[in-house]
Amino acid sequence: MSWTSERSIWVRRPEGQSCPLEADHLAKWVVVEQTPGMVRAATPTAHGVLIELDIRQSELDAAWAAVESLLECFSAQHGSQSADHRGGREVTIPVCYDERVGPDLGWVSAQLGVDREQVIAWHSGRTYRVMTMGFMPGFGYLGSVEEALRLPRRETPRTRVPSGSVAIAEEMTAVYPHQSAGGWHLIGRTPMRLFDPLRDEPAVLRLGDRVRFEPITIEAFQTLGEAEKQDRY
Amino acid sequence: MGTIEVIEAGMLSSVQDLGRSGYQSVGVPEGGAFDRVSLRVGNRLLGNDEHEAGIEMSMRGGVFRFLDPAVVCLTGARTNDAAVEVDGRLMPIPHGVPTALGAGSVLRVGALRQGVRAYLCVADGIRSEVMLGSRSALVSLPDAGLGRALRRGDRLAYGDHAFQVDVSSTTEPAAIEEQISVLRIVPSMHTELFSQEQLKGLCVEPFVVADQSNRAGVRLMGRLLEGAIPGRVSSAGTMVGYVQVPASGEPIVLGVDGPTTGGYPVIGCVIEADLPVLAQCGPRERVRFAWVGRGEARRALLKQEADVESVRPGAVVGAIRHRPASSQRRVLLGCDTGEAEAGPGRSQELELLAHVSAVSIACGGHAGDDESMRHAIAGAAKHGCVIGAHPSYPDRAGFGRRTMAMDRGSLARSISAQLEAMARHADDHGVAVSYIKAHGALYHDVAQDVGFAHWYWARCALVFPNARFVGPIGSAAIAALRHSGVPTLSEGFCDRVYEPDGSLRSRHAGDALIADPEQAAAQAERLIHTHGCDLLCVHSDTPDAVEIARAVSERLRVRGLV
Repeated sequence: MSWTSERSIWVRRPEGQSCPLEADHLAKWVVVEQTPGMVRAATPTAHGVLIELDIRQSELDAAWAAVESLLECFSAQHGSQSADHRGGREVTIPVCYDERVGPDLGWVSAQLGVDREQVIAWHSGRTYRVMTMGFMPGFGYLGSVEEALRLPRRETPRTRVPSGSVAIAEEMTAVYPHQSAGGWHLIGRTPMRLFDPLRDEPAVLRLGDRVRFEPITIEAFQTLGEAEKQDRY
Repeated sequence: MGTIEVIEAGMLSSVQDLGRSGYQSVGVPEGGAFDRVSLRVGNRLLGNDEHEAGIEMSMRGGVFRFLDPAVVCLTGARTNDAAVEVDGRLMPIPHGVPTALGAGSVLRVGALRQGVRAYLCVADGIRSEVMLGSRSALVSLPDAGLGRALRRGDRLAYGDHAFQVDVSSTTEPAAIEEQISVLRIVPSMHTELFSQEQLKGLCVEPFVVADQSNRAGVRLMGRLLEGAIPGRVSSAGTMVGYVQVPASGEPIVLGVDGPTTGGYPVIGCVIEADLPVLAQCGPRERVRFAWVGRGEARRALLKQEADVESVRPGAVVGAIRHRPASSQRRVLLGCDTGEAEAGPGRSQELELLAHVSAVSIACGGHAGDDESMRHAIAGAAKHGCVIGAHPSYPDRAGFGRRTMAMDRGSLARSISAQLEAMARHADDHGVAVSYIKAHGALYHDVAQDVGFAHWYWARCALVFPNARFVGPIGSAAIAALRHSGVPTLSEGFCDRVYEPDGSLRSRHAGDALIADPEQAAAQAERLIHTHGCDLLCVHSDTPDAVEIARAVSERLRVRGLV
């Protein structure tokens, strides 16, 4: 544990290892089990949890001790074994790998000297882990991409990436939940809405989830897109 | 429920409350007012819950039309240029003062100075849709379904119940310390990755705020840190105030809409107490960092909290204050009217009008109806009398002389309905309502309870923002409201006996009334000279009323007091 300001504590655990699922559980635990009003936010990443505190009511030493005892309870309850071995939720995201919705698909295959089918096979052929949530609501950094498929980011980011775009950059892949700027290579698009504040669980992805991409045709992409809209309204 | 129409949105305006928590784990930033302290102060001045939403305006304000009456308060960055337009004339709106606006008012907020973010708070708060527990708009991602920046033509609802502001004190708002652009920082996540020279160097020269700064982050330009900058680090949670140093060496301070995780090294973190300073940093402004310890950071926060918590609801002022038509007169002689049924009582009321200069007209609470109001207004206009509204507890059976146990919401609705009826008839006759005088038990309850008086006047000012408050001479309410800048008239009774302590002798006592006209005139003089009375009252329902009014009026004329 270390202070990262007068009002935040970084919990790094376990030492050095990547354990996104455990971090996600720990963050939830801290919020639920806290002395009410003490924790303003708990943000997990693969290597730990950032805990933001309301320090108006308690001295810094007392806040530190309270977080420490929360962590001890968590360890006692969950054991020392990382939850990450046991899995995490499985999420399947349908993707239309097609130039019409993934404008960089051709460029990527040309760059790597393979055909498009190979790019699709690599990308959809493995299970990814949500390593970090961030950048924007519902955005998950998924790792890791087949080594042969790794490319540096675009030199000039696009100013407008459509929502649902499936992209790769270096060892990561991701889906853009919302239209935004972006510097990754767009190889396909999903009709799935990855973030919707009107749902009970607004984000499809959580830290530690295991994610597969399932290729679909452009017709299926359009049909599913319509269905998704109707679901919503 | 009232409605605001956005006529111009300004540079960037959006609805913000104190933000949303609990969704950082899936990438949703906390959001909310960038300068939380200013929003909280605005809400507190209005008697709102601190969490109510207001409109955050950046760099330049917007133009808003209020389709319904409202009480508003501007906080945060200052402007010389905030005004409300009424009948084509612009009246300035003071900073940090609750101000009543009539229906149809157009509020214009111009260029901001001393900061770049101002807050328009509204009594009872803006009622935009709550998404994930907050009304805060995530303006950078309109697509995310978490609100967007305001646009011309948008309509916003505010307040969802009759005003229930409980104004319990008249403490002046504490002056929130003038902020200078020093950002105090404490060590953070990767401070130890930087060299001592780099850590010191951060505080040597000021940085300049870049134009691309926004709610997600304040970008700084200036002297690059000496030596190698640590490369990317593994992703970790981030928060508002984090000072990230990307490869360029020019720091970015994360704002309320910043990403929830990041991989740039964090050299330090702006202390919570200085986040309002960060929020008010404008493009090309210079800011300086200063290292402090965590203990000092917390002490600064506690001091700021104490300042914020000392802010109590302020008295509401009308946006427009002009002198009543009768201001050249030094003292008004008034009577209560519109209380009698057609018949002998009413003819005495009419006779009184020849001697008085002000009439307080019953508006349906304890007595009176549309017909009697029209009649009284016409009579007053004919005799050149100043008109006042005379609302009461809704109690016709008890003639408004009993304190009614009713909730504030119902009382607010009743007072509003009475005053609105009065406003309608006054408008029809083309005359102004110059003052509001409560009747009977309401008059006494308001006079004695300062908190209640503020509450009551906030309701009145919604309908008549320019009217004067009338209360008994020497009362707590007169002192408190006058102190808060509300125009007042203190009233004394010519025909009632005063106790030595200045209170009225009870009506139950046998000798409470003065029947002798000359005695009444002498009392009137005393009230003016020793009690600073501005409005003398003659009761219209006593047998000697006309004679008393005649004698007092004559005495005032002789003494040159009218």
